[in-house]
Amino acid sequence: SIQPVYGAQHPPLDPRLTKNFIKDRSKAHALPMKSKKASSFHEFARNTSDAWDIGDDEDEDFSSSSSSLQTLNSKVAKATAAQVLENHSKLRVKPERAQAVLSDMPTNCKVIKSSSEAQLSRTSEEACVRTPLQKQQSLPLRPVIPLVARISDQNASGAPPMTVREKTRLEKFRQLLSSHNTELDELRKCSWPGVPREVRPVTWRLLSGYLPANMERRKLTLQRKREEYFGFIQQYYDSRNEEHHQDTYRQIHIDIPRTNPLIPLFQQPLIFERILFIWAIRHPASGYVQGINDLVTPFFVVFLSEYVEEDVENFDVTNLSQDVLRSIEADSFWCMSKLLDGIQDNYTFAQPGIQKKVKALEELVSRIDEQVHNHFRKYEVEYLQFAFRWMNNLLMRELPLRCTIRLWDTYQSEPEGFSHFHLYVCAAFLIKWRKEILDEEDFQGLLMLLQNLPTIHWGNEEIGLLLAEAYRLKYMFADAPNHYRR
Amino acid sequence: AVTADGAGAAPRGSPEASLDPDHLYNVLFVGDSHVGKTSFLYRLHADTFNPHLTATVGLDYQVKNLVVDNKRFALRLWDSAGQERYHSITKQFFRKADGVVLMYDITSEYSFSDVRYWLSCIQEGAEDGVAILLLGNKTDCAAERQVPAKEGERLAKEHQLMFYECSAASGHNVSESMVSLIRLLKDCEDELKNKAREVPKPPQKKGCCW
Repeated sequence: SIQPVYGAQHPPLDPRLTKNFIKDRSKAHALPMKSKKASSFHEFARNTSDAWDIGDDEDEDFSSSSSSLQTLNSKVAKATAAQVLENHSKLRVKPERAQAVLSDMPTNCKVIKSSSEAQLSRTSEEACVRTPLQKQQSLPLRPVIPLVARISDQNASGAPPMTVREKTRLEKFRQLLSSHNTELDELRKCSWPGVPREVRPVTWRLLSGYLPANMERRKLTLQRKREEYFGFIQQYYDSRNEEHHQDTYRQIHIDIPRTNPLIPLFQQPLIFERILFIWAIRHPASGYVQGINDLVTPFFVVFLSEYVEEDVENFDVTNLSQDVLRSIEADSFWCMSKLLDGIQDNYTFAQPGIQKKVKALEELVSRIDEQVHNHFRKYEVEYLQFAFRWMNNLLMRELPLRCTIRLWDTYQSEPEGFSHFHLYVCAAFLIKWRKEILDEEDFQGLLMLLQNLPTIHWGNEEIGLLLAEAYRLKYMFADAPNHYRR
Repeated sequence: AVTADGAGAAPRGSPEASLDPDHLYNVLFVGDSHVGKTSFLYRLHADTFNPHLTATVGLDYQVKNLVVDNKRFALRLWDSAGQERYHSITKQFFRKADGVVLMYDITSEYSFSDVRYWLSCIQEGAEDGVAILLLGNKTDCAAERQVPAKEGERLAKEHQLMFYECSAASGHNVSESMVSLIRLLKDCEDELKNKAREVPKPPQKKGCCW
């Protein structure tokens, strides 16, 4: 029997309603997820991303009418075919892309050489003809991921013209945002599959709980909150050189230039120092912990984009008026605070939140992909060795900034997005590389791979697939938390 | 008798080539934040200075192969985060280290005074007989020096540590100190083996994998 696909809403499909799942269900019951192959991830992702292609406003029709279901099915078939073609053409294009990225780096050859030596097993001649994927893995020991590279994809300049679907979505957002009392549930639903950049700043302020849903109260709230923040600065910032705050300030001070060091935008020490210092002394249980500095970045970029037409990346912040800069700073502070409220145990003594989540990730992976899990065991790879950073920096060190921003659209629309859903995203992220993982046959190759996952070309599409898979995992385990406990 | 890197490296998968190094050691880098642990490793790895490194979070890993005294050595180098909040994570890795590189910054008195704290961590967490190298980094910043070389030497002597001053920025003493560390690690291993021979029930050789 055909199930209604009213998953064209967001979050996407209820996996229990998709045909695939029904088919696998009996198996899944006996052996939770064990029979899952990587292919079903793609199947599911394709289904869901197709579902997303249909306008939100058509939702009701699908659930109620069987004729439209047939239309949907043919649409799905067409979209799937298109997707396959697209993927094929991409497969051919990607190597060139990677090549281009590499040729931008003057020290490239040297780096490849030395790390091929480091891999114990390859001659330098061979290194030169390796596939792009391998080349990316062998980039320097700490590849500085160009955080904002290609962020122009999401900016007005250089972005492709909007499709009808995008226009409709934007219209829907505008409606919601301009209504007297924004329906937050509806806004979350719309935001789950990504927020259009035009409305992202205001949407993020609402989703984070910083801005009230009531239209009339917004302006005043913003004004009050911004004043409050600058009140904190007046009250506390001078204490940074006092003995009991010295350590905190010293650490922040040395970390700011090391936050996205290659992007001039972030060489604005004062703004970031103030945000982090004020947050730290108002949260003594955790204080400032490295990694928190990364978490300001997406907010800063998103709120900045409200005032900047061209590429945010190359923008000179000093061109902005004091007032605008102060607004961006205060808004970034408050939204970061809201985010951190949910994950503070990541940063308190002994970092229990992270230890717990790394453990949970291990248990989850042992359930959903025994092969990968056993592969790690065989080569004595511990999850803590690679996943600590995934949790501590919310995958920001593993993904380009544009992807983090897209990821946060969803995290802010999902209940406990940063604290809980992130675990499933990490699991999906790990499994995404299962083939590459299983291809590595020693400890060293595995660690090098896991520390340098080649996501440099990733964009919205990859994050969309990742989130769909994470959502599916969450659904599988949400009602049975013991499933991932051995 | 020192050759940098893969003198005997052969293509992956070639069956006759013995790719295994003669000796493999786990080495953990510790020390305060911003003393230059990652920069040192970057210099060792790429033979250049990278001023644009981000702060380490958790642990980073890389391998360095060196031929010393006609033997092939592989060092598994673990770079840790210096900030105090991360110490509980770092401590979980002390136990498995064959060697520890404890680094301070010669332009920071503060980082030098924390060396004692780090030594107590090592004592508490690492196996007895672990090889320890004390490194005073940033000799290129001579004008800002706060810790005289004599102080470093004195501390090293007091605790029986191997000691070098070095500079990740200029490359000064980077491979030299690593070669000495390798010889020290080798001595420690030999000593352990000898001890094992004396004891009727030999303790298992320390694991090379973690």
